Amino acid sequence: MAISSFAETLVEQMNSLTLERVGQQAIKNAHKNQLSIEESNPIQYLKDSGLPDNDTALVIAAGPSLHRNDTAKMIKGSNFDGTIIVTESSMAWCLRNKIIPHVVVTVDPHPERIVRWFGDPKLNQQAIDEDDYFSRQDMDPSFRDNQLAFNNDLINLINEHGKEMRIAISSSASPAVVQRAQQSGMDTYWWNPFFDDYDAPESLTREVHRMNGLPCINAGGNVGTACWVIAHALLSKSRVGLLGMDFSYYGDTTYKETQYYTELLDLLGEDNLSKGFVHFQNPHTNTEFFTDPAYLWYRSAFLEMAEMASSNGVKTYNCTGGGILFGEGIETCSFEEFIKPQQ
Amino acid sequence: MNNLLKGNFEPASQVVKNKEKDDIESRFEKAALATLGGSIGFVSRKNFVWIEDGDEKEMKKSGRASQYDKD
Repeated sequence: MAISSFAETLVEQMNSLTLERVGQQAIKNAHKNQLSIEESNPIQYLKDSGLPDNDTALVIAAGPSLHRNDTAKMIKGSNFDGTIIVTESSMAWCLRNKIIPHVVVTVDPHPERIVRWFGDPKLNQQAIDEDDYFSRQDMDPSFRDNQLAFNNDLINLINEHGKEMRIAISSSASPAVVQRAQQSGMDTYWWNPFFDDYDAPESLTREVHRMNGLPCINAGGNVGTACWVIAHALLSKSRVGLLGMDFSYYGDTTYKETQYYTELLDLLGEDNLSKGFVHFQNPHTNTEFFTDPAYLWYRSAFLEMAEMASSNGVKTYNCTGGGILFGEGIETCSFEEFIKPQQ
Repeated sequence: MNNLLKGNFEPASQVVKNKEKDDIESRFEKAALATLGGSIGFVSRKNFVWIEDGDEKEMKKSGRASQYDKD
């Protein structure tokens, strides 16, 4: 199925690499966010915030399957009545398609990129020229072209719907994201991510928890998994469906369109670039996908967590219709099958 | 200029590679690898939600989370 490669050997190091990559920024953000945290709700109050009162939730992440399949039509044409929890990166797609999420989740501490998903009031042409991330990414192709005009439209769209949404915001989020969430009127609920093992000496997780008192959530390395954990571990949803949770790229995607293209190019060079990727055949769709070290790590973390959740009575249904997230603890099915009334 | 600095004899013993250069390469590789990390941490085989003992009563409001909180 998967071909052994440089990418696979990196997966074992991803925890420490991630801490090195985001740890310092995340802690700095947590300090800066302290006042906002004190003025709003900790995440345990999200459950009593008027969400649909049933056992089902739908998590929408920003994998390319959202655009490849007619996902929006499928959701809107359904009678889904559970809680819709989305990553910040899929929020714009949801709103453009007139799907109003109950909860938006954000965790990545990046100082400039994450606020773009909310519409960045400070965006200018120089910033666009200096970072080609949004012109390359495959999560929401609408962000690629006419970036300034698109950003302005997005600011208005989020401002229009902010009051209708709750945001589960990590203390690691950049102050720019916090400000946008507050400006747009979102109802904020705070949490801490796991940075490291809270039992370890000098644990950062423990340190941040002692500073702000917020519950700490094992986010599985990424915001999509954080949505799923919030659905079952915080909101007690026992049936959780997943859409857009690809953790991979379609076989016809170019390496340049992948999340870590620049980083892998720097590390491996053009001639060895392919060693940074792992290829999978999805047995349910018989389609080829490939993935990078970070997505491979997310997959491995999710599968481990899905087994834990399954043993606690949580059923996870992957309705993505592609990608590489399949295995123990996860049932692959169509969205229609997921929303069918339970016997 | 570089040619003038090369010297004009073969050393009798093997020249040991400069350790400092290795350190620089290793630091570069480490920095490059660090850019590949994920969005946030993941801790294997731990709970989904954690709070310290003192806060447990407060956390129980959130239902299922309390069953994962084994600390």
